[in-house]
Amino acid sequence: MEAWIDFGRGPLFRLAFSLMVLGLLRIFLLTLLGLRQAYRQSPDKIVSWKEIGRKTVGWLFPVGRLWKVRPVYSAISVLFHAGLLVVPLLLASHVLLWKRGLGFAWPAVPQPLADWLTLLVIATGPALFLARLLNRGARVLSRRQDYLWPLLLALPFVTGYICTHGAIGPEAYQWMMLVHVYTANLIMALMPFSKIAHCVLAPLSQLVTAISWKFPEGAGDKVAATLGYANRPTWAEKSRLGGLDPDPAPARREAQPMIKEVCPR
Amino acid sequence: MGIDHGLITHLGRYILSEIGIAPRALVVSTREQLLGTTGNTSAIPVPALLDNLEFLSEDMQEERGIEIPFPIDQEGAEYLFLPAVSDFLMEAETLMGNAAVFRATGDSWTIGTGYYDGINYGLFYNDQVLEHVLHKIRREAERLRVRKILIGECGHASRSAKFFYPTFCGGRDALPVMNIIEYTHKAWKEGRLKLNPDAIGEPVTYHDPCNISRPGWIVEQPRELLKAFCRNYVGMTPNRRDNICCGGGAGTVSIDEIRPYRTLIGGKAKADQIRAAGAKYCVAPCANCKKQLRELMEDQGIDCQIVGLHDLLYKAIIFD
Repeated sequence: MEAWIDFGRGPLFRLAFSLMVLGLLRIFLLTLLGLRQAYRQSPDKIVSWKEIGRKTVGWLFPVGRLWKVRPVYSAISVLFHAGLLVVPLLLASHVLLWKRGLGFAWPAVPQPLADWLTLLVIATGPALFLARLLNRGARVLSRRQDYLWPLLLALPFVTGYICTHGAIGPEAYQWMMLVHVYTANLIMALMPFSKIAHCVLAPLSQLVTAISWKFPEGAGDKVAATLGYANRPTWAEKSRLGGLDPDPAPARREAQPMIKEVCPR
Repeated sequence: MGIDHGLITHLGRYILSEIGIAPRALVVSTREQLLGTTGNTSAIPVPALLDNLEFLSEDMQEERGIEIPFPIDQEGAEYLFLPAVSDFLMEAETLMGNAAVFRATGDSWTIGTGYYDGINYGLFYNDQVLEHVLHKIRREAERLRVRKILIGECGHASRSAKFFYPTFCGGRDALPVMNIIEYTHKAWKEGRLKLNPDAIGEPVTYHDPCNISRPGWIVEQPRELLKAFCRNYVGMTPNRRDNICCGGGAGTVSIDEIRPYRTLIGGKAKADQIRAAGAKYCVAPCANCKKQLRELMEDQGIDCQIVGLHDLLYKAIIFD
C-alpha cells in the first residue's frame, strides 16, 4: 500500500503534472499561433486591445455579470471555482510539497479558510451535478463528461478533508490518501485533453472572438472556386426550395444525397 | 466559457448556403443586388429613385418653406449616403429627416446613382456576398471621391459596413464608416443642429436595434437626441447592450413564411415590453426592426406607432 502511495506521489505525480503543464502550454500556444495566423491573413488590423483587456479581466472575476439567467447556478459555480483554485495551490500541506518539489514556495492560507473552501467544493460539486441533471436545457447540452467532472473534481477534496480532519485509523487513512493522490493525478493528466483546459483558454476567449471576425480578403471567392463555382456563385442559382440544382458542380454533386437525407423535402 | 455563438451561427449558415440551403428571399434579393439590372435588393431603378427624391424635396418645400435637396452624384462630397434601399420607397419621413439634418448643418453629402443600397444580406449567410456588396460601396465611393461612408437608419447595413469595410476595402486606409445617428448626434452636440425641445409631446420610447447597440456603438446618442426634443421620453428595460431583440434579425424578417412564429413566439418578449411601455411612438432606427415591429404591433394588437429617429427629429429641427 505504501509503495502504491509513494508511486502515486512520486513518478506518477511527476508524469501527471508534466502532462498538465505541457499539455496546457501546448494548447495555449496553438491558440496564440492560430490567432497570429488569422490576424496576418486579414487586412483589418484594427484591434481594440484596451476593450479586449477590459472584457477579459471582467469575465475572469464575473461578479455582477452572472445574475440574469440561473443566478443560483452561477453563485454555486463561482464558489466551486474559488475552492478549486485556492486549495490545491495554497493549502499549507500542499505548500510544503511545492517547496520540496520546486525548492521554493509561497505563503499558505490559514487552515480554517482552507477548510471552509474545501467544504464548499464538496458541497458545490455535487450541487453542480444536480443542477445539470435537473435543468432541461442543461441536460440537452450535456455529454457524459459534463456530468462526471464536478464529481471527479470533488473527490480529492473529500479525501483530502478526511485525511486532515477525519478520526480514522491508519489503514483507512492510507486508502483515503491513495484515492486523493490518484484522483488528483487523473485530473491533472486529463486537464489538457478535456473541457477543463478552459482554465488557460478562457483568458483568451475575448481576443479569439475579436480576431476571428476579421476575415481574409477574397476568401469568399476562393471558397467558391474550390467548390467548383468560380463562375457561377451559389447565391445566383435558383433557391433550393424549388428543388435541387439540376447541374451541380462536383463538390455539390457529392453532397446531394446527403442533402436529400437531411432534408427529404 | 467564451464560446462565440454568433461566429458559429455565421459559419454554419455560410456552409449551408454553399451547399445550396439558404432562405429564398435573401437569395432572390442578393441576386438582384449583385447581378440584376437595378443593382439593389428592392429592384428600384434609378429613374424611380430620382423621381421619389424630387417628390420628397417638393413635399418638404411645401411643409417647411425652405429648399431641402437630395444631392445626387456630387463629386468630392464629404459623405456618401447609403440607407437601406427600401427606405427610398417605404420610409419617406426618415429620408426627409436625414436630408433636413444636412440642410441644417450644411455639410456636403450625396446619394450616388451608381450604387445606393446599404443593405448587405451577406452578413447573414455568405461571405462572398458580404465582400462583393462592400466592393460595390467602395467603387461608388471612389467614383464620387467621397471622404466618408454614411449608412442610414439600418442595423445590419451599419454593422456590415463598419466592421467589415476595413477587412475587404483597404484595412487601415479604408474610408471611415459612420451611422447617420452618430452624425446627427455629433452635429447636435457641436451646436450645429438646433432642436425644438417641445416638438413631440406624446410618450416616446426607444428600441435598441441589436446590430448597432450590442457592440456598444449607437447606444446613448439616440437617447440624448430624443430627450432633446421629446417632452415625454420613456425608456424600456432591459435596454442598451442588454436589449430585447425585435425578433426579426439576421434576415428572418424577410421570410414571410415564418411570420406567425416571428410575431407570436419569437417576438413575444419584445411585444410585451412595448405594450408595458405604453408609448405612442416607438423609435426603431433599423429597417428590419421596423418591419418586424410593425408586424408585431399588428399581430399582437398593440397600439404603438413604429417610427425612425429622423422621422420625429424632422419635426423638431429649427432652421436658421
